[in-house]
Amino acid sequence: MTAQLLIQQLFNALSIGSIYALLALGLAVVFSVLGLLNFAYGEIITVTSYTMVLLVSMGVPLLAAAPIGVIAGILMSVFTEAVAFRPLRKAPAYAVVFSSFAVSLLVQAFIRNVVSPRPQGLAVPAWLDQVITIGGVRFPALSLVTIVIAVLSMIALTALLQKSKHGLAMRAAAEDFEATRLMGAKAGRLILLAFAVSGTLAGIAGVLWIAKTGSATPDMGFNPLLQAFVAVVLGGMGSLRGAVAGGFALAFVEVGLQVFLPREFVPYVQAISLLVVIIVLYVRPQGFARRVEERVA
Amino acid sequence: MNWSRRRLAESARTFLVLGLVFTIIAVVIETVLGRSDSRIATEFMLVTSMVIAIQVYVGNSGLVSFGHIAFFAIAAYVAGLAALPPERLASIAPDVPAWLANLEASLPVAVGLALVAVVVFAAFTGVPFARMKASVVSAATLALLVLVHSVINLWSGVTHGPLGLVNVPDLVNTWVVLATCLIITAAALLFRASPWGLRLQAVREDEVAAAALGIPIARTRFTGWMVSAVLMGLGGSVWALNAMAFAPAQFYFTDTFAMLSMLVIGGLGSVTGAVLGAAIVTVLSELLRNLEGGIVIGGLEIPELPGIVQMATAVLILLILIWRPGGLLGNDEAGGFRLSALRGRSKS
Repeated sequence: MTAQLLIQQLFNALSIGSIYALLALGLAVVFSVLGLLNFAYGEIITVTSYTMVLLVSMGVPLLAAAPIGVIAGILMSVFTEAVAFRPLRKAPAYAVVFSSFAVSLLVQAFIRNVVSPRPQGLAVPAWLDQVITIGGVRFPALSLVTIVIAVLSMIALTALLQKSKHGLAMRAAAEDFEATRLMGAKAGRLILLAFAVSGTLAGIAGVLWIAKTGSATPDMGFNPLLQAFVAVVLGGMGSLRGAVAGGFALAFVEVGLQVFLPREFVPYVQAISLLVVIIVLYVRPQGFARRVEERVA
Repeated sequence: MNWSRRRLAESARTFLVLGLVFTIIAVVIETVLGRSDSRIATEFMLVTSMVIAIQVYVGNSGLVSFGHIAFFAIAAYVAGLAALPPERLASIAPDVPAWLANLEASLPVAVGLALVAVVVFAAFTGVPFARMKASVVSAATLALLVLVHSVINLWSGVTHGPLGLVNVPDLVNTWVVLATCLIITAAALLFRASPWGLRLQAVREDEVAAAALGIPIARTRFTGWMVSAVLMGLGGSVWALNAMAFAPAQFYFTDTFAMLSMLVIGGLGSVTGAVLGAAIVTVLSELLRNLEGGIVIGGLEIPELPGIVQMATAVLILLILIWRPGGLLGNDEAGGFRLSALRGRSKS
């Protein structure tokens, strides 16, 4: 393989990995506080995407639609908390798997009935479709924007967790939720904040996702949900740093498989990368990170 | 830890009740029902037996598995490929290895092969899954389902791709269906009452306390996973030889959700609950299915409502979980002492 091609593929993996890392972070924020996975997480991406499709089709510029899409994502996340998580606070963990799964299906059925079962296209402005070529390597504008936004989001999240009182409470809750409550943090507000942060991250990822894929379908949330799951599991459940590492690791595995696999196996990339994940878990059941080393940010 | 006579007696009484229900359905199928109604009824019996198979793992361990539908799919495809005659296979699945293609297996051979395939697959995946943290298992099994589904969808030389297998010989009559139901029900109840089942329930209730009592957590979970997989393989292979045609789309989210919702609604910790939930969801779906295409009631035109069955089931699940997180029956069995009635309402 030439150096050009290598740089090209590394860049691709980096850009896909930034979206995966954001997705994984959003899922891990809730998991670190509650110890529960949100199976309606993918619907945040769906709701963000449909909001953007709707706004752009009404003539709102993409840059103005994006923040509104993120807000819609936050609302979806908070809605999930109110419907699937809050009423079941004392219930066993599996009940929340089912309740959040039910919310996910409700949102999908709602979109099928109210909007349409068919894909809805998003018109992406020309400047995002530009490609900058340096020394034979293609850098699409959207990929560059994706990487920049992901990095900025992660810096903002780190600042929130490190500098603010709420961030301190969230980091403490990730260590020991009960002890944090005893120290005077309000449990309900803390969980709501975790879902809001989760919704923000997933909403940003959703904006980048819909800009990349260009069309929204009712079940579009499933793939991002799966990527986030895999990244979080790889990164050692609940560790935020691990989630970011897991997101990039997954992207590099996927891109690597696409490059090195014989052509007839390329459709199997998703299956093979899931197999790789199972094998990794075979060797290290707790993912890359260990519980002891776990520190948020 | 020894076998508890009280638990065995409870399981035996429950088996009598559930066995009677299945037998009555089978007799009704044979004597009263017409062809299309008896299809619905045998389908109901086989789906119920698979829900019971899922209950063995999910109910006793408290861990959610989406992967059982993967076992179902593997069992169905292996049994279907084994039973299909070579000349029909050649046209839809040319890449099937010759020994399997020329087999044209009888019912026991087809089911046996399906069981071998499921056991190998379950053992391979069960080891890492048993060692995972409880909260991760649901996500990992979801990944497993996606993996199997995408392979079946893409490997068209063997599986006929998205079109699925057609013209699978119908090797199953009502009595075979009944026998399958009874075997799976008996095995599930026996496992529930067994020392292995009890250990798994102990791990479900309190992992730390169970470990402190010397229960090997990973091995206990693995045992439940394997027993459950074998039963799922049995139900799935008989289902395939009864269904005669199936496609990968049948082994994905809609059906995973339908089966899991039967379990949740009826009561996760109870075999009787699995049967009750299956009955409720089946009746609800049959009633609502008419609405999906849009109908006219008394001059009032109701527009098409795609996915109304799924929507109604989702709402029902949310309401039941909020009202009774353990499902309608919780951990109670038809033949049980209702211990939970003495303790007050069941917590799990």
